[in-house]
Amino acid sequence: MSELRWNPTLDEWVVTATHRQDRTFFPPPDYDPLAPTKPGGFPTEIPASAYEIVVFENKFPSFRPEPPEPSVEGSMLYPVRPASGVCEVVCYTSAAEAELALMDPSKLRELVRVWADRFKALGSRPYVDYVYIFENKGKEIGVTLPHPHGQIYAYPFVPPIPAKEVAAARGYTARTGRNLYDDIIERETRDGHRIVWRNASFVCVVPFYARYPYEVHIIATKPHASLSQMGISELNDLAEALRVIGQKYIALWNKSLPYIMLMHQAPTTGADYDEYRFHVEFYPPYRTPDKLKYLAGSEAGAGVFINDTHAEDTAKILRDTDPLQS
Amino acid sequence: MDVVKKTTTKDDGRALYYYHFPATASEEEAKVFEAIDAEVEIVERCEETTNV
Repeated sequence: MSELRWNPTLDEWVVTATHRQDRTFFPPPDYDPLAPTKPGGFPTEIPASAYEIVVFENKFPSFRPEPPEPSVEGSMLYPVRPASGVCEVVCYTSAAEAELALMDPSKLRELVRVWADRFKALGSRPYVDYVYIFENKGKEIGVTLPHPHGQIYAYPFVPPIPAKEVAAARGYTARTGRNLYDDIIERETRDGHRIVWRNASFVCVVPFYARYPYEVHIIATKPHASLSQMGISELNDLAEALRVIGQKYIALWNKSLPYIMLMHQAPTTGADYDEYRFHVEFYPPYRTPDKLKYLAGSEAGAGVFINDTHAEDTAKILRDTDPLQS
Repeated sequence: MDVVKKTTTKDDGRALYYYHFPATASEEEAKVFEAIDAEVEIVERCEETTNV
């Protein structure tokens, strides 16, 4: 069962989801729960013999539209809340061996349209304050199902990192009268050293403040705070940027690089978030072809990331790495 | 790009959404989508931005 427990020492919620201990863990290849259900075959999550893109509520969710009451009594010191929200699984394709960056460009554009629809649909629910679209890729990240898929968490609160970003963007505007992301883009464009790639709507950088060696941010150049504010050309440009960065990652060391890919968008609380800016963040966990960056004492306990590289150097490497298909 | 979807409910009550893209769907995908017992919903297209 899930519930929210308040951590008064950090002023943040922790989700307990004890039922997730029993979730599907590396099923055999011929028992793919995200594949279509073939006639006479075992029943998968998708009771149809073919599909293009499907989205369904997670069987082992951390949040539910109608959550149970917390298992413990809350108090002033330790408030608790039902874990209301939604956890969805997005199956990018029925092809088990595919991966996002290698999908046909038209299929990737379709996936972006689905993400935009889910953002709108989930964000309009009254108990949802934040829609978080992400993909965990690779066993190094803890992925238990290799079939290409992503997830969406619709939280009943604004999570700490987006909340901190929103506060930082608002604070910057209050201090300078300027937009933080406009200034970042202007600075990166002027320097050029940390730019990996760009198109008409997005600039892709290893940020000045990168925490992972090959971290890339895809930042909207126009003042869009979410997918729902973008037009068709921007959505298509986003698909192209995701494809190029994903292919550069594969070409970097000629292997399917694991990563966490996430979208930071405006909260869906109904307030204005004009200072904020849509962006995608990629965190590949490798710092060399065979060495992982672990989140150890400083990162996990102090919240201070130690990056073994300079963004300027890894950006040049990625900039000089040709995508697989241009 | 036309995008449509059908919303269904799985046996255990969970929502399942099928998205369909007529321009790129295979014949089998189109046939399977058509056979799903649910109403077709037009996915609202993102209009070109007007607030910029």
